Amino acid sequence: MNSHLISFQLNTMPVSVETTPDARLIDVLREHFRLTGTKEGCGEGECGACMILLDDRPTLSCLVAIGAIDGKRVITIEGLRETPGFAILAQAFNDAGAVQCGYCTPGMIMIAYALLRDQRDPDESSIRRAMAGNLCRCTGYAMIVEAIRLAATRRGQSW
Amino acid sequence: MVSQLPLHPCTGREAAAAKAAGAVPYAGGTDLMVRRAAARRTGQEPPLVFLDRVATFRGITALDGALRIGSLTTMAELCSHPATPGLLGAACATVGSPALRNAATIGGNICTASPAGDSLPALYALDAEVELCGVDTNRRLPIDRLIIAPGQTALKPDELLAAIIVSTDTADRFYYRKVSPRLANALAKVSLAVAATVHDQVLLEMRIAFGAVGPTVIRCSEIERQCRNRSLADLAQSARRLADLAAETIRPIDDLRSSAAYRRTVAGNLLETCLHSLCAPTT
Ligand SMILES: Cc1cc2nc3c(=O)[nH]c(=O)nc-3n(C[C@H](O)[C@H](O)[C@H](O)COP(=O)(O)OP(=O)(O)OC[C@H]3O[C@@H](n4cnc5c(N)ncnc54)[C@H](O)[C@@H]3O)c2cc1C
Ligand code: FES
Ligand code: FES
Repeated sequence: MNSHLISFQLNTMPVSVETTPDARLIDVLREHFRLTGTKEGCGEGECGACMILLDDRPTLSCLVAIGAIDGKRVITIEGLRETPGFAILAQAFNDAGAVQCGYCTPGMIMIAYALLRDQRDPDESSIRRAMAGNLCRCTGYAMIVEAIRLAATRRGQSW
Repeated sequence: MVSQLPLHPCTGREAAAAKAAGAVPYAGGTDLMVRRAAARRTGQEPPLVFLDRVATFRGITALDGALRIGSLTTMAELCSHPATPGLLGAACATVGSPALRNAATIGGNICTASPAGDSLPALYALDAEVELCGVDTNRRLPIDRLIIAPGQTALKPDELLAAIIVSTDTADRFYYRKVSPRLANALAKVSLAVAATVHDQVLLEMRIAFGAVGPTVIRCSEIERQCRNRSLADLAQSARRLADLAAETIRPIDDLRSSAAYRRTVAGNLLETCLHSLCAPTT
């Protein structure tokens, strides 16, 4: 495919990139913008490591062609870092022992952020359903569920 | 030339022209991007045309006695929309994972024409129709005329799926069950979608569609005929016999997800469970 100029909002910045429209969003984020917090696990939609927010909705960046986000808004884990919600989530993940190798963590935090934005106080089954597309090979999930419960109790009015 | 075609057409006609010229329609990308990862390695990549700005392919609108569902409606939108028929919502809620459902569209699910496509049995059981948009043509087809074979549809080279039309005033009871090894990110081994109309403890009408047990969705018209106009009590009595008949009707295959024998047994059991649940007194 020929190159095109694709413009979108990335975290707080308007950006443009000249690329073939079928390039994967995950590759553009990691290789062009050097935002390497977004991880590639499976590359086929199965693991959730590549989770970003596209127009505020959790989306798998390995399955998105860059042409599809022209005019839209992408938030990566680097963008989330600037929010008060992130600080609470990071502390909760830390306190619950929810991070081991850490590869799944950016995706888990993305999902947790969106879940707590949409539901003030999700119960365990809502948390597990929200996480259904995020794989973790280390923790056995219980600590991640616990971390999200903890963040829900500490969130105050942060997001 | 393909390179002159718009990347983000705003009308169905323009998008159809791009497809006719060789571009591949991109809706949610969830099937396409997995398939193109393989194509990328072989260096064969036809250009994409992004459908998301085609306004007439969007939104859920109420028509007279029917609902028009734009082909770009995502699974997540369908699941949360109050007008979505319960059977269709239940089926779409089982697709992939929450984030996948934010991207995956119903149009993409239909056009992929996978024997395990989760929206399809529900659409067959609802007698859905599809609205197709070409460069100079518009036509409607029943869903079972659109899906021809695994991965194959009746779309002409210049045609796109614009919308799905489902009647809103027929079935008042439904049953849906997808059997898969895991609840998330797992394709169906067998699925069953049933829509029924009951009046005064009599089943007036029932439409039965099995997924993942044949090359395309299988409607069981003989069993539907045998069930029609019978009392619920009588149907509950015959549930096992009808389930055995269903197991004989379908022609499942062995593949990497399951064996034919398993699919046949489970399909029968699902119909039996379904009949008991539809015939149970409502409170
Ligand atoms: C991890 C994972 C899990 C999955 N789980 C499930 C599951 O549980 N159940 C299930 O049914 N599917 C599943 N899928 C498959 C896929 O997500 C769905 O089929 C989805 O609905 C496809 O929609 P899309 O919008 O992403 O399609 P796209 O990938 O955009 O398109 C799919 C195909 O349809 C064509 N197309 C799309 N829209 C139109 C249109 N309007 N007119 C003409 N042609 C069109 C495209 O050119 C392409 O060939 C899964 C996929 C992945 C990666
Ligand atoms: S890398 Fe995208 S889901 Fe695994
Ligand atoms: S901490 Fe290692 S994959 Fe989750």
